[in-house]
Amino acid sequence: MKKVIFAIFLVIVFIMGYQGKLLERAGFGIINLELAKDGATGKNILQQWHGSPYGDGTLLDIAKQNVQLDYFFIVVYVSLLMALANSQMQREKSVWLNNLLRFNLLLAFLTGLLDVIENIMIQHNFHHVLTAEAYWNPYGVALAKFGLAALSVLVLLFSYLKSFLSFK
Amino acid sequence: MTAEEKQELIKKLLANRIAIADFHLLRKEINEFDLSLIIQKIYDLNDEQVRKIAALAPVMAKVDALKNAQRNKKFFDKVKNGFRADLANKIILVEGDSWFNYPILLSDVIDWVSMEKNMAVYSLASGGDWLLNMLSARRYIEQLSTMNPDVFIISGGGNDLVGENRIAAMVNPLGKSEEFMESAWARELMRISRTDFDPDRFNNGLTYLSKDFFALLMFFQLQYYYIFNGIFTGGTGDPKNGKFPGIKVITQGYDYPQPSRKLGFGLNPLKWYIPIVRKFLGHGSWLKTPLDMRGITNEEAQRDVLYAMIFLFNEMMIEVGEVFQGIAGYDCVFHIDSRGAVGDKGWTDELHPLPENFKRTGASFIQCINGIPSPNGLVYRVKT
Repeated sequence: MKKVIFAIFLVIVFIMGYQGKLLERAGFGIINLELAKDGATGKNILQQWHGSPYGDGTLLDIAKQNVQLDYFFIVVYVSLLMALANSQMQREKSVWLNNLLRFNLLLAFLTGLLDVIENIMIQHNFHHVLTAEAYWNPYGVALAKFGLAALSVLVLLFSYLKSFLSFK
Repeated sequence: MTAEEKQELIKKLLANRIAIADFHLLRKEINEFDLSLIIQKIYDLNDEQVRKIAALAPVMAKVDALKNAQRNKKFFDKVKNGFRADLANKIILVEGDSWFNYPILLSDVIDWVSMEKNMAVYSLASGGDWLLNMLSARRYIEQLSTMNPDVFIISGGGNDLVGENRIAAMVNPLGKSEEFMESAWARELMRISRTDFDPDRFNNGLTYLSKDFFALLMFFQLQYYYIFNGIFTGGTGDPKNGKFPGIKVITQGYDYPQPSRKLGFGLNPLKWYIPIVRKFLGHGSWLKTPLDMRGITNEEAQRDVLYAMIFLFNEMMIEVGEVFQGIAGYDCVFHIDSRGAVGDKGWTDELHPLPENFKRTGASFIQCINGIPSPNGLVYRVKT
């Protein structure tokens, strides 16, 4: 099961990576938008995409597709993080690390939840690209999301490293 | 023994008026049909109804199967790599309930045992499974024959007692029951017991136990006897007919659970799962609500009822081990005694300890599997 989820994860990463490259033609990727500290930067990024033609549309259309695909990506990476944490819980003898891996299940869920909220904010901004005062800044949500995701991955990596060293 | 004589003894057992010698006689003669009849009488249901309520909910069964599939993959990965060539390695077959298979959120006893490098664990355990189901499904028999394990671990009885509000039928709310005094067998269990206990709590709990509880306790022993007799003597009573020479069986008997409906909110983020488990997975409905329903509403009395039940359940299991020591001629049935090890605050919900407490029970299993002798003979006490 983990292998299947991981394969889907890689395919989506590849597609989203390609979309990211396209967006960077305007000088900004989707991460730049998520982590734009102030509203002015965020609005500027949206307007750059809006003003950059791509095919019969603009780069903003690619950004919209990217966010739509991100909903599926959320399901996949949350499932993957949970599956990895759960699987590692069955190998981790240290109680505190085992408890942290269990905590990872919650972290993965919260990360996904924050990502959904962030996507909703970004989609709102897409719909109001020409109305500067309607901008919702996703910076705080994105920062919390990345923080939780990093913590989650760190716990996993630490447990893997510990298992590897004890195996040797 | 004639069929009529057997029926007479079963009738006495159900009335909790059977003599010890008669119970021992019945134990040797019991078959699956008799066991089915006894449970129908204890539960006041027909055979089909009993099996229906004992069956696992389909969703539960699937989630449990997923965990078993992960475990059993690990088992085969080990076995394929020459695991059995080393005699220090142990092949373990597990049948049991949620103490042995609690999906996703908790690391249960078997999760901790499975982490040992010298142990390959094949699991048939399912949370919510009744001993009755394990016995009638006979899945363990097939696996015992094919894999010839070094150790067979079994945990069952908890759900038979607390599933579907059954515990409500095992108590007498007036608190004046004298059924313990009527049960020569249970009194004998206590006479030979070598376990420390709190007499006030035990005696208070006893005053609420109905005759059906003692009948159920004897029924549990009959079921375990039937299972073990099949393993050690091929069902004949003669160890020469046993198919699994040298096999070690390990049982367990839970800890004193805490009837409660509290959701368990707290400040420790690592215990985030407790309110979720308690809210959605049956907490309160196994013990607290059925006891409230019968009018035993005093919290101390509720805890004492469970104290007496679990104390006697463990003593019953310990006796089974001693009986088979005599039959098989070697130390073959061991018991992991968790009584008092979890403590008042060590629970995830009414029935299941926190993972770290499951680990301590698991450590006793590991000790027993590795053949490290216990100062208590066939009993391994879980460290408090």
